Amino acid sequence: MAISGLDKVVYAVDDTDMGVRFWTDFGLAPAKGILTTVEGAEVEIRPDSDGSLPKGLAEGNTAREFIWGAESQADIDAIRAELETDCNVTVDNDGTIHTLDALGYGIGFRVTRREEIAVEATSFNAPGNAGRINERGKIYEKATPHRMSHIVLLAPDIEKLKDFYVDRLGFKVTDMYPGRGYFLRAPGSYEHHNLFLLKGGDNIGFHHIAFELRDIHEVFGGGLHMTDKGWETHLGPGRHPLSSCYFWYFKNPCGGAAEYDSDSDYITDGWEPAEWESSPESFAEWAYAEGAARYSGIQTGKT
Amino acid sequence: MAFIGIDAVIYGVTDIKKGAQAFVDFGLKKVKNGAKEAVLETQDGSCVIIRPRGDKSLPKAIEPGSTVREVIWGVSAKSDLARISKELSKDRVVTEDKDGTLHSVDNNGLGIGFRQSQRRKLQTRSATPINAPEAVVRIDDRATYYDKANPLTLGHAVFTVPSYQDTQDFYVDRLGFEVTDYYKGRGVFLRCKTPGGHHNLFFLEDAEGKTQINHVAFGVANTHELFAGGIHFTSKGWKTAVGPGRHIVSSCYFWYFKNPCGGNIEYFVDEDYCTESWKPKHWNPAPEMFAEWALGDGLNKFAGQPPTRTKQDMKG
Repeated sequence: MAISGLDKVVYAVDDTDMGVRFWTDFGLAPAKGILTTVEGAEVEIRPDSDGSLPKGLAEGNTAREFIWGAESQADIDAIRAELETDCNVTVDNDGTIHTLDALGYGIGFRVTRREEIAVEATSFNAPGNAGRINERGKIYEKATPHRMSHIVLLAPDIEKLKDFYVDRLGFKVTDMYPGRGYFLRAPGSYEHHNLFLLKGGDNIGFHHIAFELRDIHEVFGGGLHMTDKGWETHLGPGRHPLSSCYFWYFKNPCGGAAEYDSDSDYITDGWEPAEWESSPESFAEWAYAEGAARYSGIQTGKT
Repeated sequence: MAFIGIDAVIYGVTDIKKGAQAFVDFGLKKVKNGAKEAVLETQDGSCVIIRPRGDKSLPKAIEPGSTVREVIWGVSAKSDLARISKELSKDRVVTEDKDGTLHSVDNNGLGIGFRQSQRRKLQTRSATPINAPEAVVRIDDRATYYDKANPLTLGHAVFTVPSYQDTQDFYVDRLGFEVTDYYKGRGVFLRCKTPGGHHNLFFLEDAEGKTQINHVAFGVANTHELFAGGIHFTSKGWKTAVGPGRHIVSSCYFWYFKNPCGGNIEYFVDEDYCTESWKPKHWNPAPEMFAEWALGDGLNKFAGQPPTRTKQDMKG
C-alpha cells in the first residue's frame, strides 16, 4: 500500500471562475477547471451544485475529496481490499477508487499521475562560502508550485482518524502534539507530512492545503504576487519549527487556506518522531500577521 | 594591492557602555571592555572599536554626535602598506602609528587606516543544508534554529557623501577598488577585492552635500540566523530601522537596526559574489529598487494564536 502522496484535491465552490483565478494567481497551470503543479498534482474546481461529490464537512466552499496517489495498480487493489472490509468503496471509469475515511472526509486512491521532477538546488552565499558566483540571487515574479505537499484536516475524534490512516493505510507519524495533532506521512513519501490531523475543539472540516516551492526566494516572490493580485494573507510569511518550512498562507475562496512552503524536512525510516507541546512557539518561530507587499516604501504592520 | 576587507570600524561615541552592549546583543564578542575603549569582534576577528567622542587620538568626525571616525582596512602584506603610503602621500598626510597601522583621510575627510589584516580565516564552512523538491541535502535532520546571531564578518560600510563620483575616483584610482554596481547618477557599490563579496563600501550622494555614516553591515551564515538574530536583538529592546527585507542590488536578505554608536547596523546574508567576470550594472535609483520587500517594524518571536488552533483549544 505504498501511497506516495497527494495526487488531487477536488473543491466544490459557488464561484468556479473566482476559484480558477485564485489558483492561477497562486501559480498552478490551468486547463479546463483542473489546475496542476509542476509535478502534475491536480486541483479540480467544481460547482457546489455537483451532486456527485462526497459531502463537505465544513460549511460553504470547501475541499470535498482528497485523492491519494499510489505507485501501482497492485497498491490500489490492496487498498481496496483493506477498505472494503468495512467501507463502501466505489470504482470510477478511470480506475480511481472512492470512499470516506473514519470521520467522513471524501478520499480516493489512484495510480499516481505525478512525475517526480528534480529542481536545481538553489545556491546561497555566506561569508567564507561562495556557492553562487557572478550570478545575482533569484527574484521570482510569481511562484510555480512544484509539489502538492500536505493537507490539514480538523478532527474532533483525532485518535480514531489517526488510527484509520496509520493502521488501515500505512501512514507514519513523524511528529505529534499528543492527543491534539498528528503529522503523518504517506508510507511511500519522504515529506515531513502529507496529512496533518488537528483537534480544534469540536470543529470538523478541511483546514488548508500546502504546496512546496523551490526556495525561500520563491515563497516571498509568490506571496508578493498573490498580494499584488489582491488575495489576502491568512498568516505569513513566517517559519515553522515543525517541518522547518518557511511558509506563507493565503485565504482561499475555494475554502480554507492555501500555503506556500519551502525547505521541508526530508524523512526516512531513520527519523525519530518527537512529542511537542501545542503552543505558539511550536507553531512558528516568527510570523508576519498581515503579509508583505512588494516594496514601495517601508511597510508597517502586525507580527 | 591586496585588500582583505574592513578590519575594524572605529566609533567615537557619547556612551561607550551602551554602545558595547548593543554590539554584544547584536552577537559580537567583547574582547576588550575598558572605560576608554571597548572592542567587539566577529567570528573572523574583524571588529568594532568604540571610544569616547572626545578621544584626541581619533580622526576628526565627519558629522556631529556619535559616529564612525575611522575605517581600518586589512591588507595582506607589508609591501601593500608601503604602496598605499607612497600613493596617498602624494596629496595628503599619512601617519604611521607604533604598531605599523597607517592613518589618513579619504576625499570626504573620513578617517581611513590600513594595517596588515588581523582577520582569522573562517574555518572551512559547508553550505547550510536546504531542501528543495527532489534536491535533498538534509535528511532525517531538522533545520537549524538560532537563539541569536553570531556574525561571521564585518562586511561593508555605507556613507552618504557630497559626490559619489569623486569618492569612486578616490577609492578606484588611488586604492584599486572595483565598481560592482551603480545607482545611476546617485551612488556606487565598491568592492576591495576580486573575487569577493558584492560590496565593502557603498556611497550614496546626499542632496545637501553631507558626509554621514549610514550603516555598517555584518554577514551571517543563512536566512535562519538573520531572522533569529533580529528577533533576539529586538527582544533586547533595540529598534529596527528597516527590515527584515531583501535587497534587489546585491541580492541580500537584510535587517537594519538603529545603532547608539551612530547610523544603523545591518545583518545581511546571501550577498552576490564577484570574480573578474562580473558585469557591473547601472541600476535605476528609483525607491522601489531599494528592496524586493521590506518590513518596517521588524519581527518578534511568534506569540500569537496559531491559525490551526481555536481559542478554546489555546485555553486547554
